[in-house]
Amino acid sequence: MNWQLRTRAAGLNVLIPLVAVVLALATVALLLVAVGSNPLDAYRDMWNAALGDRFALSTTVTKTMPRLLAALGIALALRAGLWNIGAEGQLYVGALATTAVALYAPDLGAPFLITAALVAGALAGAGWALIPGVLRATRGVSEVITSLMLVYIGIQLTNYVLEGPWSQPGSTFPSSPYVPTGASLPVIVGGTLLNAGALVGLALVALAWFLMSHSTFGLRLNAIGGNERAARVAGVRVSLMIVLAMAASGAFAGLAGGMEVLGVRGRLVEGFSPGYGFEAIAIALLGRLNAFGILGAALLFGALDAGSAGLQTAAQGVPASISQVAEGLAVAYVLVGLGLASIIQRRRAARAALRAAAEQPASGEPDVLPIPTESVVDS
Amino acid sequence: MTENPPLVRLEGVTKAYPGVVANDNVTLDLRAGEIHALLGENGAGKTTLMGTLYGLHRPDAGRIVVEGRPVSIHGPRDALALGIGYMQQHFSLIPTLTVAENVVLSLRGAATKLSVQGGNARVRELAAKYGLDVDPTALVEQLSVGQQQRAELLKALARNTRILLLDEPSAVLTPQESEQLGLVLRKLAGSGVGIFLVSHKFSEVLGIGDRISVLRRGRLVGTLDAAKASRAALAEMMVGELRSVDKRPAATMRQDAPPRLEVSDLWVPSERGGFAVQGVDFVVRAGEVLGVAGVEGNGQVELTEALAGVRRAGRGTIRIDRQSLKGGRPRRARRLGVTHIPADRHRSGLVATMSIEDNLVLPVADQSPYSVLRVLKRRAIRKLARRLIGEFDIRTPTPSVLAGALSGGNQQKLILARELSRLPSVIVACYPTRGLDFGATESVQQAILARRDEGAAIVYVSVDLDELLSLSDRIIVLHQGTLQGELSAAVATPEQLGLLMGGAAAA
Repeated sequence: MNWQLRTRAAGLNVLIPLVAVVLALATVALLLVAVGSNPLDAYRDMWNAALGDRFALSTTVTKTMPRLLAALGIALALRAGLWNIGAEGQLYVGALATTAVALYAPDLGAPFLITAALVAGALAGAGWALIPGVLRATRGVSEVITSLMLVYIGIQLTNYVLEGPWSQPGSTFPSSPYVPTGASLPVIVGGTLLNAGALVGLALVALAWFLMSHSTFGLRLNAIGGNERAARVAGVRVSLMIVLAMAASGAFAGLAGGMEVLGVRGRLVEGFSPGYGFEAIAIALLGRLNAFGILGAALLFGALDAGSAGLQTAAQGVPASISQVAEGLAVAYVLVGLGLASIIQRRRAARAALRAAAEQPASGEPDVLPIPTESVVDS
Repeated sequence: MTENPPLVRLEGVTKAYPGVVANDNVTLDLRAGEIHALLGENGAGKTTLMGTLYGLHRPDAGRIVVEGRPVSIHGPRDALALGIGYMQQHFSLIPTLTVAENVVLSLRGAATKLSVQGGNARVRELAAKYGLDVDPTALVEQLSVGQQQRAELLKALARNTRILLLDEPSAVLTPQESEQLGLVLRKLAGSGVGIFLVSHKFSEVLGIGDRISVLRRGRLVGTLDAAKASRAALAEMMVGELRSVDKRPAATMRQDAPPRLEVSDLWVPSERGGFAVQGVDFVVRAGEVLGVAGVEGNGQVELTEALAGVRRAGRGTIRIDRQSLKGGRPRRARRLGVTHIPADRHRSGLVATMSIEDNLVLPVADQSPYSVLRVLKRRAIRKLARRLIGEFDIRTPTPSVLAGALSGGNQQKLILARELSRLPSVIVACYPTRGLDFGATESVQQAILARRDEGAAIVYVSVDLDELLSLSDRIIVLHQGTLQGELSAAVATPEQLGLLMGGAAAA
């Protein structure tokens, strides 16, 4: 019975986002009709650009990666009730650190160079998130405000480095020099954009799943998120856990930035993230703070992003931002669906309890602890 | 022989919540002019049944018949239209309005309408008729709890309520007020109102009930005439089979047992400034229960929190097995073997959003066999949970049910199971039996005494002197954070303790 309940719940977790996406696309179709476009043409263009062939698929995967990693980090912190709104900033400083290692230590040799550069990115992201973590743990400062403020500082810091020390004479757009070829993440399927970063991404999904569901760390984060005081009373070192959760969260975002540099662009470009770190918040919620759910949600957002590029090139008067409308609607519909599902699940669990009680007559249950007759008299 | 149909009849009412069946095929009736008491332990389903009758939730099965007519109650509005009034444990009065204004406001949408002036007159009239002593022009916020309850009753009476549901009305009253309430209820019944009275007090149901129905685990065990019922019969119906156990287990403590908890010159700061505990000294030996008596709010919570490492001590030392405990570090206290049953179990006790098994394993998650190298061993955790669920009789279908889905009594058992599962060096228990019915109370006390017999030192805080006298070896009395005296439980009397609790230090 338990197994059945669990598969049913898992089924709902997959079904709801799927239905929500279909509804979102249907709503967008209505909007397209309203502005005089043919939705079928638009969707065909989007499909071709996102999923049509191997190249399109690799575009989707590439666009999924930074969102996926940042969202995994956000979910980790959110399980402890910490809103890391600042993944975008952590992503930028991570990209900056990765680029710096790749540019200044090119002699390390490919595998070491890539590893060192990505580790530097993760550490930089962790360090950036550590600031709100420590402030929250020691002074009770809201991590929402501090992590958000640090986004702008992180972006401006990157801009300063790109326009100052790393500025390229004659370049029209602020960017760093290209990283050496040995630092680039190798393409793993010829003729596509698919690089080794995708494998790193999958490994990190597994790592996040393990941390959240099968480690003492994850158990404690859940406890803090559910009832911070009770967690403390039960012996959880809450301050330490808050700092660790924020740092881990930032590491994921920093890695997202680093992989974007080494795997996609080959250099650090001003404003390279169109808000991956912010979109990741919606993805974490859409994926219900579950590592595999987040993978699915990130793939959806990646596909919509890749598809919107198809709209732009097809040039049929459809604004590419229509894909953002679809993203927003999908999140909204999922939230509605989750609300409905929780009502249904509550009813189902109640019925299951009813059956369990019917099979087990109350009189047949032994009283484990003895109850003396004298205490029957109330005082 | 033709008989009038009963005022209300509940037929086969069933209501389930996740993990628990609150009402299971309950059939009951209420006659005009009777007080029908509903008796049961915490979580037996009394309040749920009343909520169903008042339309707060729909039953999953069964039907409700009012005066021979099946009715469908979709919400309180339908219930009120049928003449059903419900006085819940928490009042629904607007504190900034007067009693009469509250009554008039509650009549919006009802057949009877009143102006505020009319309300004053009507409230006076009803108050006089039923002996409900309350001033209609008084602001609710200035009333005592007992007076607020009377105002709440007046609201129901002004609507010509014929079916009155009362959920533990005496829980918030002084003994004198309870007695007065009993008289009011008898008068109401005398005028033809049918009353369902939810209670878990024997004296109350036997004293003012006409019939008594006992619920256990959501099922109706039986209905008795109050005149023919005895406490023993009711008790057996409430908890099932009873077994006889020595009420006061012999003290096993030896005078030369090693001290396990030593407290000297302890000062604990209060949130309100100053010190809640002021220079307290005591020692608790292995196998000993130290009772802590005192009127509530005299430093007991702060003292226990300091002993458990949850609250930082301002001055003084706490030593457990001769090792110093630095305040503000619950983890250190747990390492030293201190286990803590907190006073506010909802806020400090459990994580409602986590499963029962995760709650149980939380304090020991980093220990073998529950985790190896920080990897949780789910099978060992499940085994622990199943064992504790059995030992402490936590009523749940599976260990993966969320702790928040359990009834209050079962949540309490969950915390006790967690805290008493290992052999602790010191048990710090603050009001551990508060809010429990006697079956659960006895279980808790037995579990704590079992740990005492295994050599734990117990600090047991209660406001109930009988409980302290029966459990403790010695009793200390706190008054305004200072120690008023220390008595041997064998010779102490409630009168002596009462004097000390009032602040008269022992000579």
